Amino acid sequence: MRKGILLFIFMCISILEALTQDVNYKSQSLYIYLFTKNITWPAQVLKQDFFRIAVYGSSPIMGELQIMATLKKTPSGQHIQVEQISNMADLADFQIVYIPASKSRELKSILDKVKDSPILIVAERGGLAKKGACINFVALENDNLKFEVNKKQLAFHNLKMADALMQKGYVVN
Amino acid sequence: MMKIYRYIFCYLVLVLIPIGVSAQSDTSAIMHADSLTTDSSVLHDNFFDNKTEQRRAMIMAESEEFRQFLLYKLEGLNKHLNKHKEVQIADSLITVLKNKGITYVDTAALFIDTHTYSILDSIKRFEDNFYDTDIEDIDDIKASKCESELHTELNMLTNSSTQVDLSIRNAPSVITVITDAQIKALGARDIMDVLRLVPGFHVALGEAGNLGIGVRGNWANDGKVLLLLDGQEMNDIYSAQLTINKRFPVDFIKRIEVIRGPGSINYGGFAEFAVINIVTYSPGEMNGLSVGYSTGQTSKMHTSDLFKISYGKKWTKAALSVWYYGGIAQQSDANYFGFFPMTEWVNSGAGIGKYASLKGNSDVLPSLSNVLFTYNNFSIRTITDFLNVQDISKISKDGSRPVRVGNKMNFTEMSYKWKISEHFSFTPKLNTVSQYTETNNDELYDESTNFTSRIKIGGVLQYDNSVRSSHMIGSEYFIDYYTQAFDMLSPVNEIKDLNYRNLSAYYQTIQKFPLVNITFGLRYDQNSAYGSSLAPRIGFTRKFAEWHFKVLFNRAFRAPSAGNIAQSYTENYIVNGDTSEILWMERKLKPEKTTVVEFELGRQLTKNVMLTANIFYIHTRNPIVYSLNQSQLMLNIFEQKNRTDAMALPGYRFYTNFDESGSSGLELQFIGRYSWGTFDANYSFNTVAGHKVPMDYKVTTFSYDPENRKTITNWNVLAFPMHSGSLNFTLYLTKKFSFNINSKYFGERYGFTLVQYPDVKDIDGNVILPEKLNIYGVHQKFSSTWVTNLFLGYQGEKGLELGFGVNNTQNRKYEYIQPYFGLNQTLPALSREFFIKAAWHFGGNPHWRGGQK
Repeated sequence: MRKGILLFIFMCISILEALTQDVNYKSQSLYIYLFTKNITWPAQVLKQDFFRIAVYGSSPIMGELQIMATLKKTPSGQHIQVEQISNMADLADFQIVYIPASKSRELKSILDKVKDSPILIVAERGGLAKKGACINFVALENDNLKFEVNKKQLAFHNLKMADALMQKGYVVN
Repeated sequence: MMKIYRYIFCYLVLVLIPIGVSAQSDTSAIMHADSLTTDSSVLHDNFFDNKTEQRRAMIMAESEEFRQFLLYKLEGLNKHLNKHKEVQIADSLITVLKNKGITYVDTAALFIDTHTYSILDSIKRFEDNFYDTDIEDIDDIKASKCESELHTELNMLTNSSTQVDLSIRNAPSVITVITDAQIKALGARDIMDVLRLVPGFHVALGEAGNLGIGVRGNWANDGKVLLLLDGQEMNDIYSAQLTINKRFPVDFIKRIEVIRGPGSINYGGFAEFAVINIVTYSPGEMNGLSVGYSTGQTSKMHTSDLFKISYGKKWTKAALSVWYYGGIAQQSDANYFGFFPMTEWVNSGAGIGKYASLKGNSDVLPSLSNVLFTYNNFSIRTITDFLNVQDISKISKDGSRPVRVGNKMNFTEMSYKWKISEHFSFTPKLNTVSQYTETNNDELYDESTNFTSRIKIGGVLQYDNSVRSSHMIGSEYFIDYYTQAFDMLSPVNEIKDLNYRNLSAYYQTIQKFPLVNITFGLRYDQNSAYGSSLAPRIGFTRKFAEWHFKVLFNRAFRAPSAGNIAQSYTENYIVNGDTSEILWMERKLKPEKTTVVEFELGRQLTKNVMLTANIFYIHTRNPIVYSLNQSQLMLNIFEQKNRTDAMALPGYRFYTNFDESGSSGLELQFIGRYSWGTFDANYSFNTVAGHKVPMDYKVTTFSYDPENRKTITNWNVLAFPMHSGSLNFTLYLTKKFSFNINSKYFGERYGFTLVQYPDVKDIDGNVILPEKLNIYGVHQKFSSTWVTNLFLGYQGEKGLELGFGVNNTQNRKYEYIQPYFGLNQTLPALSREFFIKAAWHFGGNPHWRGGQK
C-alpha cells in the first residue's frame, strides 16, 4: 500500500514535470538580467572580470542565459559567464545560482553549502523563497511572470535589492 | 557588430551541446555527413540540386561555396534580414561551425535546420533590444511560451467565482466567459441572445409571458439564479424572479461571466444554480459619447425599436459613466390563447377565452439606466430599472391584451476599497433597493402595487499573505421592508406589512499548492423569517500546461423572498365549524438547499483549440415550487368564497416546499480562437432520471387530478430538453467586417398546451358543452429542432458600427414552454426576423477590433 502511494506520488510529480515544459525561460532570463542590474553585490565581487551565473543541474534556461550573457554585460562592465554545474562544491565561485524546479529538493543542501556567501539563490519553483532561497519565480493567474523575494535572506547574503525592483516582487517576510 | 553575432552563435553552440545536438564532434560529423547525404529532409534545397550527393558531401566548410550555402540558408530563415547582416551572421556561423568541428556542408545544414528557432530567436532578441526592457515595463512578461488568442482568453482574470481574481481554468467553478468582441460579432441585441448559447442554459415561459432561465434541467427563475450587473444584484427582491425579456442590453458589456453552478458562499440566497455576472465598460473604456439603435421586422410585424446612449469619462482621480437603454419590443407574432376575465366566463356567454394574434400585443418595454461615479477608491452607482410587460395570458373580447405587469426598481450602491497594508484590504458597502411591483388593468389586481425595499450594509476583509494564499472574511446585514397593498391570492390572514432581517457571515480561503489549488468556503445566514442556513464549499483545481481539472463540491441555498412567503402555504390551517371558511393558513417556507458536485477536465489541444468536459450532479432538498395546490379543502373553500361560475378552477398556486429534486448530466465545450475568427461548439446532456421530481415539473399526461396523470418519461422535466447544443462561428472577413452564424439545437421537449375542442352534443344534438368552453390542456412532445441566426457586422475605426442579421433563418417553430403544470399555452418565439443594428461613437470607436490587434 505504502509503495503504491509512493509510486502514485512519483507518477504525479513526473507528470507535473512533463507538463510544465512550456515555461518561458526567455522571460526568466530577462528577470535574471534585471537582478544583475538592480541588486548590489559586495565591492570585491564587482572587481572580478566575470560575473558568474550557475545553473545547478540541467535546465532549458541554460540556453536563454547564454544568449543573455552574449548580448549583455553587468552595469559595472563585467562580462557575464554562465555555466551548468552539478557539483555543489563549485557553487562558491558564482554570484547567482539558479535552481531548476527539478532540483528544488536540494535547496537546503545548497543553502548549507553557500552559507552567507554573497550569492543570490534564485529558485524556479514557487514557494522556495519562504524556504530560504533569496528569490523564486511565480506565475500569476493571468500568466504574468513575477517573483517572490525573501528580504532576510538577501540581507543574510549581503545583497541589496533596489526599491524599484522590490516593488515588482512579492515580499514573503 | 560582427563581434556580437559571433558571440551569439558561439554561445548558441555551447548551449545546444547539453540539450542533445547530434553530429557535433569530428568523428560523428563525418559519419553523419555520409549518412545524411541521402536524407532529403535535410538537403532538399534547390541550392544543391545540380550537385551529386557525393559532391555535396565533399564541400568543405571553409570554402566559398559553403559560405554561399550559409547565406542561402539564412535568407530562407529570415527574409527581412538585410544583406549586410546576412554576411555577418554567415561569417559568425562559419567560425562557430569550425570551432565545433563541423566541417562538411551536410552536417552544417543539419545543425541549422535543427536550431532554426534558436538562431532566429537570438537574432530577434538582439534586434528588439529585449534585454534592455525596463523594470517599469516587465509587468506583462509572460511565464509560459504559448501566445495565441486562446491563450489570452484563458488567462483572462475572472472574479465571479470567488471574488478573487483567478484565471478561467483555475477558478473553482464551471465557467463560461463571453467577451465583448464575441457579443458584437454575434449581433446580440439583449442578454437573452447570449445566454441561449451557454451550455445547460434554456429559456422557458413563466407567468404572464415573462421569460425566465432554466439551468441544467432545473427551472431556476424563482430566485435560483443570480444576476449581477457590475457586482450589483439585479434580482427582483419581492418575488425573487429574474425576468430577462429584453431587460439587459449588451452594448455596454465588456464581458459576461456565467457560473454554471452555485455561488451561495459569496453571494447568498439567490445564487443556487448559477450566477450571471455582467461586467460593463469602465468610464475610461467608454471614453466619450456613443449612441445606438436597433430594429427588427418579421413578415408580419415590426418587432422592436431599442435605443441606447452612453457617456464615459475618466479624469486623473475621478471617473463618470452614464448610460440609458430603452424602447419597445414584441415577443411573438403568433396566435395565442388568452383568458377573459373570470367574471365574464359564463355570464357574458363569450366563453373562457379566445385565440388572437400577439402581433402588436406582446409588448415588452425595458428602460434601464445607470450612473456611476468614482473618486479614487470610492464609488457610487445607481441603476434604475423599469420593465413593463404585456400579460399575454389575458385578453379582452376585442382581442387586445389590456393587462400589464411590471416592476419599477432602483438599485444604489456605495463602496470604498481601502488598502490597509500590502496584504490587507477592506471593502465596505452600502446598498439600497426600492421596488414597486405593479399590475394594471386586471380585474382582480388592478392598480395594485407592492412596495419592497432593502437596506444592506456589508464588508469584505481580504488578506493575501502571498500569491499562493488568500483569506477572505465577509459579512452583511440587510433588512427588507415589505408593504402589500393588495393580497395577491386571498384575503385569508393577509400579510400587509412586515420586515425581514438577515445576517450573514462567510469565510473563504484559496491555497495554491504545487499539485493542486484548494478553495474552501463556508457561509452562515440567519434570517428572521426562515431561520438559518449553512453552506460549505470545497474546490480542487489546477492547470498543468495544456491540461486543467476541477473537482468541486458546493452546498447552496435558495432564500425565500418576502413575496414567496406571502404566497406560501404549508397545508396547516384552521377552518370554521362547517369547513366552509379558512380562518388561518400557515404561510411559511424553509430555505431550499442544494448540493452540487462537479468534475471538469479540459485540454488545450493546440495553441488555438481547447476541449472541456464536465459532469455534474445536483440534488435539492426542500425545493421551493410554485405549485398548484389541489386539495379538496382548498377548492371547496375558494369555490364557495370567490366563485359564481360553473368552471371550476383546478387549484390555487402557492409556493410550497417539496421533498427533493435534482438533475445530473454532462457538458462538452470545444472552442477555437484564431486571428481570422472564432468557433464555439457545445453539447449538453441533463436528466432527472434517478432523482425525485416534484409533481408540477413531471412530464405526464394532462389531468387536473394528479391521481389521473400518467408519467410519460422519467428522463425529462417539462420544458427542458435532455440533449441540447450550439454552434457559433465567427469569421473576421477584414479588420472591419465580420460574419457570424450561430445555431442552437434543442432535443425533444415536453410541455402542456391548450386545445379547443368542438361542441359536445348529447344524443339529441343539443350542445351540452360549447366549443368556447370546451378548452382543455394536453401534453405535447416538441420535436428536436435547430434555430439558426446570421449576422454581418461592420466596425469602423472612426466610430461607426453597423450590422445586419437574420434570426431564425429557417423560420422554425420554436416554443417557449411553461416548465410547471398549468393551463397556459406555449409561447411561439418570433418567426424569421430581419434586424439591423447601428451605433456611432463620437471621437472614434474605443472598442474597435482592429485597434485591439
